[in-house]
Amino acid sequence: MNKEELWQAALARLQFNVSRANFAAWFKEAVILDWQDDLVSIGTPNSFSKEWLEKKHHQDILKALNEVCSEIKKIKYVVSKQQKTNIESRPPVAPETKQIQFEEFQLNPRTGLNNRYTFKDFIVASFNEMAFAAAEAVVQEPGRAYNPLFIYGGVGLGKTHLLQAIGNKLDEEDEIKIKYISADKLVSQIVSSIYERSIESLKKEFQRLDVLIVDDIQFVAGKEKTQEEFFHVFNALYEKNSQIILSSDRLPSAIPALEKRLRSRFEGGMVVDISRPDYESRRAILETKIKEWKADVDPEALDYIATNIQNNVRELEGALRRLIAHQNMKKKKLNLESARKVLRDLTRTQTKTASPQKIISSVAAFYDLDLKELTSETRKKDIAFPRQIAMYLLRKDLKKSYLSIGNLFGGRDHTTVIYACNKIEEEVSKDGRLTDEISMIRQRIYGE
Amino acid sequence: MKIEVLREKLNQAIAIVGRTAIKSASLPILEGVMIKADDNAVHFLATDLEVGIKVSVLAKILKAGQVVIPARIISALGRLMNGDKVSLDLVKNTLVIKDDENETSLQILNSEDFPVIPQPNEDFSIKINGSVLSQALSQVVDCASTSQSRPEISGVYLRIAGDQLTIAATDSYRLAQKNIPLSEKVKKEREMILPAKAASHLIGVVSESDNLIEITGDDNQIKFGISLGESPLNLDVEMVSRLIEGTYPRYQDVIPQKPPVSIRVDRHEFIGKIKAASLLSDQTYEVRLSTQSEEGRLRIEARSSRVGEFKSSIVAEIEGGEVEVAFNGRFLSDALLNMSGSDVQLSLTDADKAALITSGDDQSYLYVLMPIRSN
Repeated sequence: MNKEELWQAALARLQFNVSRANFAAWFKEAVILDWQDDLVSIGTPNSFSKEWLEKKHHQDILKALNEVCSEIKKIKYVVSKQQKTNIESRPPVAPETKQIQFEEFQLNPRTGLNNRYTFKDFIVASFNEMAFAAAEAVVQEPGRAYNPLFIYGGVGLGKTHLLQAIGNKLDEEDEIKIKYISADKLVSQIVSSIYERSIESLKKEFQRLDVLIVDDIQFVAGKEKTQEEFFHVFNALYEKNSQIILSSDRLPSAIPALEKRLRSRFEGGMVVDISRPDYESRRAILETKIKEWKADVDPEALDYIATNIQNNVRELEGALRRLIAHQNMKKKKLNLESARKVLRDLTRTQTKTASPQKIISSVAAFYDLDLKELTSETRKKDIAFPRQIAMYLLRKDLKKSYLSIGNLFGGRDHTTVIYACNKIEEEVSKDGRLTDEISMIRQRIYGE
Repeated sequence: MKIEVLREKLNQAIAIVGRTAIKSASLPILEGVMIKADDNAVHFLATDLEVGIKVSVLAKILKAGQVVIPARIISALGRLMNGDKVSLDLVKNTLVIKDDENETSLQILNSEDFPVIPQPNEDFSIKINGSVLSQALSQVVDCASTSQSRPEISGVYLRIAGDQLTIAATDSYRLAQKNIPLSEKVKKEREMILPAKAASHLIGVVSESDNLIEITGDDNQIKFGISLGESPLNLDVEMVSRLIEGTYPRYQDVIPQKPPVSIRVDRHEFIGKIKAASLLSDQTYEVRLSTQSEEGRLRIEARSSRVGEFKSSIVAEIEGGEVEVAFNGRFLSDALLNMSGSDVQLSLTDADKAALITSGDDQSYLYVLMPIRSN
């Protein structure tokens, strides 16, 4: 007889000694936690039932147990911890929810993950299927399939979602130690632990992990001390086959002021990109969301959103959300014309023309350079190359004359500008990575 | 059981315990109040299986014993009685209640069914002024989450560390925190989550008492020992509550550090405007604020598609730039009403980051409020 059967047998006897209300209130929720020889431990849901059973029914219970199994002589009563209820699945985000929550509260304090992000909600289309496949492989065989997994791509394309989904999926396993952290938080933790002289214990804490996920790793650019400490953590984890997952808005090689040894570590596993969604993918995302939110949207209006919002999945969802909110308010379906009105200012930011200053400053920011450096005389390669990209973009996007572009860079000769534009044009045609970089810079210019 | 007790004391005791008694289909006895007489005191007990409360009063005990009667009836009866003195006499299965003019016989409930109110271990002990605690709890308890989906934030967080008691509550949209100094340092830090209902109940019991409350407890339960009124005509109240299991979120992370924009306004004037604006807003109570640094004014606007529109502005000291932000007007006026002092300061980052609300007069209290996403 096991402890469950013992308790069932005892309850069968006890039900005749107590009133039905009392039996339901006090006995049904109690369980036998442990049974060893002559001692039985009874767990109760709260201290009221513990008191009740112990003070009022101890003799009855002992007698009943003893009848079932004569060797039982002693009973211990304990309040057993409430069963941990599983974190309930998130209610679908209604389009009209406007009250913002504390984001920090959504996070699992142990892992730093937000359980809102799941694979189920991740919409796979051609632009992200490679990254998705890599993520799935990592979930299947953490630490073995691809280590590290490095996912890069522009703002609002779902990198964080994918990273968190991997973490949440792996977290379903017991006893797997996961930590999700954004690189800027990592930097500030390392800085403050250096200040508090607790860097060793911080490192130890990281080194016992089975899975470490660092989002937006490009933020370690130029943070030498952080890079050094992170390098050691990385090596320790890698050696014991712990999975490392990183995300960035660009390739490791394009992260400025990143130590060589770290860069080669980052490139040592699987590097995979999430590119901008094509029209079909954008359409598919919108269709999925409509189903999820149980909304009814005019196909032409949908087409309008998919055509006009190109760079960013988050904005795509935002536009749809806004359209639905308007529909709910007006209580009627919006046609293309009214949809256009509602979304006017959103699409305007998409097609707005950038100023030359915006282009130059975005290029400078992307390569982590000073504005002054970019327009200076210097011919150092790591400055000259971004400068050529800036020139290329000014010519390509703003149709500026070679002469005026030259003037923007401290009166350079127009032939220099022509050379730069041709050179980048040619490299773009044969180097896919450069295309990616340029599209990310464009996203900085037009996207935000 | 046969006792004589002052009518006023009987009424006070019943009023305190009566609120804990509940209607319960599965356990009808919980509607009852237990009256228990021993040596020279009479004890009134009630419980809802979350909170247990016991009020003890000096009385003339002619015969010890115990009885359980429905709380609802005795508390209504108590208010209608006359004279100084009331006698309670258990005769077979009825309780005979007599005052100068009336005699009532009440059917009793089976006192054997009445739960035993568990007593926690005294793993810690602090003392605190009753009205100070009550005031502090009332400043935060409204922020506790009313949803049971996250039990750990459905209560009030208590933290005892060093010589300070910190009380906080949040529903993940807003957060209130109050610090109270303790007269003695505690040796060991302790964190607890008190159910919001127990907190509200406690506020009601101790609001006007300047006596010290003794708080003790263990990991599962907390006990408040309260003495109301002057001895020997005092009421001794003992309230035991279950504690909510779980880890309270690290709410310190949501308190914004040095938000760049600060707005200082007259508190009472601001409350008036926000209340007016809330009347003219939709179900979300959306009230929009925008700074006008040059004029030194804060604009307050609200619009409802059904009711109409409200526009106003008040004098404000604005530093750190311009900002436009929308809040739930109810949450905002709650916050302002919980503050003290003549001025209030709003510190903001931008339209979708948490706002910090403080009063210059009271550094021990702060309120953090998330905006509404405005279209």
